[in-house]
Amino acid sequence: MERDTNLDPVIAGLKIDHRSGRPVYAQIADGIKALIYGSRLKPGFQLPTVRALAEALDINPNTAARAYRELEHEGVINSRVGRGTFVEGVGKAEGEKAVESRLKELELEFQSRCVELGLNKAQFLEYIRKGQGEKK
Amino acid sequence: MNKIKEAWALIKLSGRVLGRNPFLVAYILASGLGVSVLFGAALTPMAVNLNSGNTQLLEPYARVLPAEAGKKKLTDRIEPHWAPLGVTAAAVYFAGSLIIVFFNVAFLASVKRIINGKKVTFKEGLGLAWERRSAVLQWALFSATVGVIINALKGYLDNWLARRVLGLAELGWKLAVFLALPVVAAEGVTPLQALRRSGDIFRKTWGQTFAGGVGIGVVQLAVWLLVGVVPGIVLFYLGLYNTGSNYGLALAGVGWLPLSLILIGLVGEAMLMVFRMVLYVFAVEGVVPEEYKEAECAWFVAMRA
Repeated sequence: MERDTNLDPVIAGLKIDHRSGRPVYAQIADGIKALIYGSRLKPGFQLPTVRALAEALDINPNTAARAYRELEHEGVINSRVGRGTFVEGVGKAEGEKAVESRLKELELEFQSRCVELGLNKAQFLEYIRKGQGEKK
Repeated sequence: MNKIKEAWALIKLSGRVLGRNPFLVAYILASGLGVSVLFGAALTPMAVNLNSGNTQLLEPYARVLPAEAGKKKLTDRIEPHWAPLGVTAAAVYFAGSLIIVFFNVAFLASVKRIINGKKVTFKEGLGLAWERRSAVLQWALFSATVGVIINALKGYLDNWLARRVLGLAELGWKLAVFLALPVVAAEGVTPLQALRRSGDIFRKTWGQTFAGGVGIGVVQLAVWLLVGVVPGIVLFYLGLYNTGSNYGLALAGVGWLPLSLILIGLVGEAMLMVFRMVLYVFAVEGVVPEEYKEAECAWFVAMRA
């Protein structure tokens, strides 16, 4: 039986931005590496199936398969025929690179949201700071 | 070379998607029917009024002068009121644009679901377009406005250079629309965002876009020659020379030429529409979106405990 995809740490932790200009398969691969590097996914953790991942992210299943193929090629995950796909681990340099890449995407998204709202970076940061103050 | 290979893979996928989901053509037919009904509903009362001499429905849009010796025909006695006439024409034009955009978005959203390995019906496709109603409305208004401006400029410009520049602008607009509508269907963004995204997508896929467009055109022409022209000529020849002047057969041959052209044009239009969404998915996801084959991905599809 499939596990509930809403509770899946991979699906919950991956954020795909269709507008980022970066291929979705690369975003997935980096996202999974970042989750492993951040210890949200431990070695031996079973990843969702291609179909479940594609369905949850509303992407083509071949895109999800391509991301898994890339990760398997790099030794980050391991696929066992008939059993599934499991986390192996990620090296420090590779993990940091993936986190940096995700941060860059967040930065771009942040900038794009600022433009959408007609705010500059300083105004947006001021708003966040105010929000933090109110919380305190 | 790689771009041509990828374009060919995208064309083949478009053909397979359309072949397995022929109901997609119904969106184009429904759109054509909707626009015909709209224009029919808008123009028929006026035509009936003009023919019957009853001027009641014409009055908001024109002043009808009394019949004089020199001007007895009703059509000669009409002085249009341009403001209400223009507003009504613009409203009808916008409504037509809305119908076309709505069914196109339903078509494109259905294709996206299909290539993502999901099943979709005609009704569900309409539901997907309805979910994007705000973006559909904005895009219809925007594209209708640009269309009116381009057509108006065409009428005013008589300078050779200005007309060439306008021609280029029109080509750019058509290209932008070609890639922007899949963005509207997939992301539900505003018209300006859709245009910006279509520019990004075009920069990534210009080779595949041109090769795909030309490829589909060439396939269409080849199919028409094989299925339309050759049988049409054979029937015409057989009707006139081989079966003792069977004029029915000869006429069928002549009639088959335009009929087959319309049918193949319809299928070609549908295929181009599928290609637009396939191209969008290719640009955004970075993978030629071949149809999902579970057997080939067996390593990754094992059920989880």
